[in-house]
Amino acid sequence: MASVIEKPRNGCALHGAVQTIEEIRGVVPIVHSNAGCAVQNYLSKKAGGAYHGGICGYSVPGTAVQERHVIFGGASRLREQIKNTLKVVEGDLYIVLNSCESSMVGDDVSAMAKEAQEQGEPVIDSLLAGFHGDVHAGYEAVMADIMEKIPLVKKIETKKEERLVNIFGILPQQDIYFRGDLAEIKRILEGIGLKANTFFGSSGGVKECEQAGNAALSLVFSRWGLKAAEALNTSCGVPYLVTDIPTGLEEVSGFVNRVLETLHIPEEAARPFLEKEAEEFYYYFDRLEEEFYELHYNRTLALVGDESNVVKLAKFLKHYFLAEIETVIITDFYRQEDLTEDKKAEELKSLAEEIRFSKDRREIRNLLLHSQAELILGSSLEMEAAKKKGIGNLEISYPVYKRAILQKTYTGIRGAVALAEDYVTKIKEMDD
Amino acid sequence: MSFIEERKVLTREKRVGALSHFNGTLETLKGETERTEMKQRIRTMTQVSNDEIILALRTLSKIEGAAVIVHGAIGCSASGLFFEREKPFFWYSTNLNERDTILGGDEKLRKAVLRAYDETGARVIFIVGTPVVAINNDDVNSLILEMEEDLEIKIIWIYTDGFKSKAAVTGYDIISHSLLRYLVDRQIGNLEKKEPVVNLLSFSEKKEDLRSVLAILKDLGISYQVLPQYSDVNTIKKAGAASATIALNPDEGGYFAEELEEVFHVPYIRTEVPVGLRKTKKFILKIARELGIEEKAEDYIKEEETKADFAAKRAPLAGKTVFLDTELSYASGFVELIENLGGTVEGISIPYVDLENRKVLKKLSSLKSAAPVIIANGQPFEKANVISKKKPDYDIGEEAAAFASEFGTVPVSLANRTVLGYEGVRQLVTLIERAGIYPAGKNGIYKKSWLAKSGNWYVKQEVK
Repeated sequence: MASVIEKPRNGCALHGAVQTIEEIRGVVPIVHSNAGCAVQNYLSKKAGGAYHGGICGYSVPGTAVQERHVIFGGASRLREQIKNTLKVVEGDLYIVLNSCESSMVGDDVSAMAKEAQEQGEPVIDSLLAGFHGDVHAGYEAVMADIMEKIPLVKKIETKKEERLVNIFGILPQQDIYFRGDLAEIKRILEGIGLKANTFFGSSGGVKECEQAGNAALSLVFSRWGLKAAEALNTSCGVPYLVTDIPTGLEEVSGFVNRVLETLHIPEEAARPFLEKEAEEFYYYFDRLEEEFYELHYNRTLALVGDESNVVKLAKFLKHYFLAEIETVIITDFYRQEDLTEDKKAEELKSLAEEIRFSKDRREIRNLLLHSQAELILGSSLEMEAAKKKGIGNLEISYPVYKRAILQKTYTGIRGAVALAEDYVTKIKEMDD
Repeated sequence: MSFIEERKVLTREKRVGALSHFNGTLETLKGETERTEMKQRIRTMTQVSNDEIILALRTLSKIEGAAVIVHGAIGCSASGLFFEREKPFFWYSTNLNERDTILGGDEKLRKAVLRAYDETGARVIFIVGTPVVAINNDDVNSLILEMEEDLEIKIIWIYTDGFKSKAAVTGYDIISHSLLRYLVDRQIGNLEKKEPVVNLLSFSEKKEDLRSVLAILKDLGISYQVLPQYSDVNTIKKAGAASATIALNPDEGGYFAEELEEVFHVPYIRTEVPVGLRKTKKFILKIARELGIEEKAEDYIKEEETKADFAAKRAPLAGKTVFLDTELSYASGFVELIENLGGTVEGISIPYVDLENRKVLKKLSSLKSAAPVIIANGQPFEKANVISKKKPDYDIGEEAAAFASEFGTVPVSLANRTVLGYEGVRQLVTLIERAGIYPAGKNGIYKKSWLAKSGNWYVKQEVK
């Protein structure tokens, strides 16, 4: 049973869907909810460092459901809203989103989207209500819906692209480094001769969504991308590979080799790229050697954040800086009991002494206060615990209140260097 | 007439006929609002906007000694992260899931109350209502009765639902009603001898706004207590003991102030929002007259006006046109201030007009009768329509109207700044002098065909 949460860091499933759509250029959300639902997300993300653009905030079209729609049904209001949004707001794809109210009242949201489709308009729906989960569930559902339903409203030429790869599982806005993460993964894939459909970021957009079915492979970087990859696998036969987000030379090399192997491309194809990456990585990394011994980078750490990011960082810091990962607190999960049989749980156990699952700020704070951590890697909500313990808090997860993050990443080779810079800076600040 | 014995306060629509949808000219609006009943309209195209839950949370997040429980799905409290940027506060979500929407969320609410009680040391627990709870009809009142007795703590139901009113400001009325009915001490309030302190009611003002107004009160030696935001539970309890009340924004605090006057016999000094030199002077003199410090106030005004006038004389808006996005209670002072700075207001957007504040429209006499007026909570697409046609030099409002820059209009945002009092004059002058367009790649989100249309095609009259 989902429990009471103090200061939840995650919004609801509707919020997850809205923030996902906001980051795909050309897609317009139409929120069938009361006036303030999407604004709650806007304010939260504004505080948490989302730096969203395009159709976001108060410009998101929504039905602003009133009492009469709750009593008598809001389907006709939604019909009107879809029709007029098409007239007012530029877009290549319009996605109608459900909410708690419309779900409880039983509005036929799908029928309204279908009506518009029958008139040749690019309108699809995604029916997850806010109470069905948190932002991660919203990303999961809306990406799967886009993959499944975009062929209903777009004429897509079926033409397999042997070098095209889809990227799923990196959550826009919730992963505070998502733009940089996607750009770095794209750079790596392009470095080995592949093309990446990132959907989000400077190259993303509706066109990439349309082409997803023509890809040779989908890469799934967190459990939240699995449903979209499976949907593409079922509808278009695109195979998928579940993999960790790579950070550091070993991880990037392993990732590259796994991708090539899955695509039946000889590993030799990547050798020149990896050699160049190794050169760059060690050029920077070697400069820390002296300080590694003198400043004792191998600190005891506690990490708080979404699973895929925490695993990525824990692996890197353990491997390169010999850090001791004492506590890991995972903030994205369906239910704790589901995770005991999870493969990821096994991987986590090999990385950290203690694995906990919590979305509750107070519970997380208490765990941190009782830990032996010398440095926390968490969100701005962990600042209080860090201050109480007199240690540093390197912000790696949502929300981040006082940093502007646009292109920065802790992924790949360049991300590893950035992470090293920030980690060492934090250590120096603490030791002052 | 007091509403304090009513279980719930009426929405702004029911209480004062609030009109939240209009798109036309000042002349048409004046004509319509002169009638006994204002014609309600509905929009057939809307964008998301603040609702009463968000406004209620904003104010509650700034009450010291309180814990807030948002009884709903996890997203219904998401804005808490935004409101606690300024100062952390205690808040919980009952995190209702699908099962709870069917079988009820009472048990979770009970757990949340117990947690808030055990973990925060709060003296009051506020339970904020959400659409889910309004629809599944959880019996919150029975739970409150039972738990108040068990825990011996005040638990107050803020019965917001997010869909009964189009006027988000209803959220402040709901807070006011709940505070007056359940927190303000009636025994203290009924004492004949009042404390030599003035209540300054503030619901939405930023700390910059308060800083400016409080500087005035301090300089005049007026003893004050700010409430309900930026206050303490005990201060709110003692509101009835104050010798007078000022509502910084009468459209927001008027309900609280009137109830304090009628039920607790605290005189309500009816002031207007102190925007611009003339309104600030009026604000000060009205208070000074009530408190018997007129002479002192006049000297003070003379001194402050000279300083503020020095900034105003720089006339940064000379020959420039402005689209103004503000509340009606700010409008007349704001228009006058813009004119003092050399500018002309070409069009205006306000969130609502009601039977009580409609008189302000008459004070906008310097505006052309054909000036476009939008009544909208948010709805930037309508403002984009007007701005694309009128192309004013500046768009001045609380939120950054980034969309306006697409049409060559410079957005001037009052966020993190104030326009209140003498400091407000100085800050507005500086804001305008430094304003410019951010050199972003412009990707307009609205269709050209929409921008070419008349702005009111989608607003229809409500069928009853």
